[in-house]
Amino acid sequence: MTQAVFKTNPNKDAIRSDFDKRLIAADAKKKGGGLTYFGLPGASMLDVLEWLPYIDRIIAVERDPDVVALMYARGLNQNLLDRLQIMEGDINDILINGTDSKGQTPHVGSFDIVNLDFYSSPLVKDLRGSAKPIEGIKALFERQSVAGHTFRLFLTGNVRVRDKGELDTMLRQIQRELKNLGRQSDETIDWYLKQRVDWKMKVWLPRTLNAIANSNQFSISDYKAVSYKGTSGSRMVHFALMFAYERDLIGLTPISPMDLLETPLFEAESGHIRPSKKRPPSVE
Amino acid sequence: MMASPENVKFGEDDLGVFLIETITTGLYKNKLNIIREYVQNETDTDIADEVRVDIKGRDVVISGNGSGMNPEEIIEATRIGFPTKDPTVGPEAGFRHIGMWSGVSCCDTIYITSKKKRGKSFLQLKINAKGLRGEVDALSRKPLLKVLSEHVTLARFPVPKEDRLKHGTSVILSNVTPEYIELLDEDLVKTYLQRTAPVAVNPDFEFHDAIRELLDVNVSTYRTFSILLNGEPVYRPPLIKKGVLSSPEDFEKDMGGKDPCAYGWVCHKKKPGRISDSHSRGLVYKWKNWTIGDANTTSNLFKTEPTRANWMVGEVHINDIRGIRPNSQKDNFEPSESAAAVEEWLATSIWKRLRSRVHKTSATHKAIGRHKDGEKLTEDVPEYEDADEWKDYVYELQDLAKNLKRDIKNSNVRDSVKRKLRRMVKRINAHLKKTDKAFEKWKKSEAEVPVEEAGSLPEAVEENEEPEEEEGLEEEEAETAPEEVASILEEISPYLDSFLRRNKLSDDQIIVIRALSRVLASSLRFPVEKVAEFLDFLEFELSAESD
Repeated sequence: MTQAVFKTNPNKDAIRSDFDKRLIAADAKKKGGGLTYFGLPGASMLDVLEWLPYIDRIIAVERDPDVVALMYARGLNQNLLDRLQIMEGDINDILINGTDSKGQTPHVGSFDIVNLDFYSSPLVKDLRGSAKPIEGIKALFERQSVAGHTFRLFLTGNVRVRDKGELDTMLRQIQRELKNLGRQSDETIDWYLKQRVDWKMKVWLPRTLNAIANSNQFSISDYKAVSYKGTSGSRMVHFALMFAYERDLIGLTPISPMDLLETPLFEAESGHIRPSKKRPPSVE
Repeated sequence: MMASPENVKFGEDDLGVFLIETITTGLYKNKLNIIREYVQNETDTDIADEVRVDIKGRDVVISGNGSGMNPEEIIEATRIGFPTKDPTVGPEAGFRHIGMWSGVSCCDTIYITSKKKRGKSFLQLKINAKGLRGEVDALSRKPLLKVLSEHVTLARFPVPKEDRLKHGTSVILSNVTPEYIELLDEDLVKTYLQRTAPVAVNPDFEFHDAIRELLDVNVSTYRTFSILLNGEPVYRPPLIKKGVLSSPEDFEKDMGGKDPCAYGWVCHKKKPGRISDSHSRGLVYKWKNWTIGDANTTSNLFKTEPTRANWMVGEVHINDIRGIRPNSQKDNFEPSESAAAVEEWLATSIWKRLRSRVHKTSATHKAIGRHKDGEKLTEDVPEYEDADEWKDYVYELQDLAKNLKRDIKNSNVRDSVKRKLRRMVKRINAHLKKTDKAFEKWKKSEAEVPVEEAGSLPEAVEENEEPEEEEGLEEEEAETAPEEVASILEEISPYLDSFLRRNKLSDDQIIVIRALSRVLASSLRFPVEKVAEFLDFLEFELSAESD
């Protein structure tokens, strides 16, 4: 009996080969050379294969040893072995400890693309009482900061997780901040509070990660979110975030709350990506 | 009346788990042979043109773009001791069908993932090696077949469309155990592959093309593969810089077949002494271009001066792969008539020829050294202030001329060098005449030194004078009075002291060398210059050692 490990769907394909690929192509052009990838490409390594023209080195992380074996076979077939390092273990442990379960360290110290695909979002911290994902991301920023390396973070999370009100609390906080600035956002916030989690996460996640980034001389310079239905039918949000290293950065450089609220949420449906037809009322 | 014997019936309960230990842990003296087995499985597919060995933390990954396996073939591959192909006909170097299990001794899990061209699935054979060893350790009474079934699984994964036409196999020895740490040592694995695998000769070696051409023409089974270790190509020796070795000579053993039974090539070191790179020196057997044994396997055949094999590098390729087969340890050949004939040939006629070349190198090099000494000594006529110094100088020239004349007579010294030596003898004699005149002039000008005290210089050596035979010298020295021993010892002490100054030796080594020099000198069978020569030789050997 065959096992389906090379799963994908049209929406995910579109995000990978259209949305993300354009960003990566632009990043490679800006860098003037091949990029270094670190992430969770899964058994199929479809993202890596799609972005291959722009990638020099691949550090792929996988927890399941059976899948690792499959990835080597796939890497062999696709002539990737020269530039592929497969690290085995939990990606957070690898980011925190710097080594995988086999004692390997990443062949390069810092990365251009970090792809945490199908990664439990940092919301898990509150839901499961585990700080590992947040610790992993902090370790990533520290690693990138040591090298002064600007990078793009792709992060995909399931929105069915319950947030214990953290997202709504954050929206109220934004409402207060805008009020202090003399802006009226009650209607906008009320609208957000009535939306699905993906809309709230579109605001919450960049803001949360930017705070972590700031303490490591990074600031978020680009953030986009795509909402789509995953292979199992569950709603997912895919983030494409650019963190720029700023050596002289002191203190916090928060993202403008208005920008956060007004940045569109993209939606992928039937293999096409477009900005959501729904729009929040404007902040006055 | 005796009952006729009946065949004993064996069932699956008659094979126990210890059999798996015998063909894994017990199979190889050299643990790195495990890597060889999996590389060989890939090169045996005939179509693999690249095999990679990657050390990834505690894993060793061996992958190649061979033909891959379909479900039937992967199941066939798991069968133990069932040869599927005739290695004397096809490209295979393995034929016992046990190599696939070799990794059981060294790691926790073996993953063998394979795909055939146009195959619809990736097939993943997973061997729980740790579990299998656990059964052995627990002295399990379970039948072997049951234990194997419990610890070996086969999974299939659908192939993404972009992989449909691809093929190959990758093997992961996952979580190599500390007892097999050698498998994770890149340097050791590299050296092992260089010395063992059927890779091309080091392209930086100056005779790389010549050797390839010789082998392409003369060895029907000669084939090389691209093998990468951690992404870097591996080449076989010689790993020696340009100018050290002479051009290759070849030799063959004909046993009446279409091709020679065995074919070899050798490159001698141009200068005396062993080749400093221990991985390059010596002669090795090659079977389908895989190394069988090591340089000791052949040097053990050489009864006389086996260490002289270190003065050369070469390979002996077996063409008669039907008559000569590697043993399961791959450290020699199985006993056979053909194997014995090749051994005999190598140990006698070939070794005699190769050794003779070594002697030529040694004798020629010494002669060249003396020629150089002659050039230096005859550059100018010296101006000494002491009659003894004049005499010492002349004695030195005369000794040199004598030794050069011996070199000219020595059949081991190359003829091309002998011409130069003859010219040097003439030059020395001419120089001796000049020296004589200069000495006479000095005597006259030396008012304080009475002419009769200074005496005269020894006469020049005749160009056509026959050198003294060694036996003659020995006899003469044997008659030397015992009281001369002390003076000989005194004479050798400057050589000895100078030698000890130049070479940093341990106290023990100094004691041994002093004692040895004294024994040689006082035995009176070695004149002083022979002791000096012995010390020179020793110094050369020491420098070769530290090279």
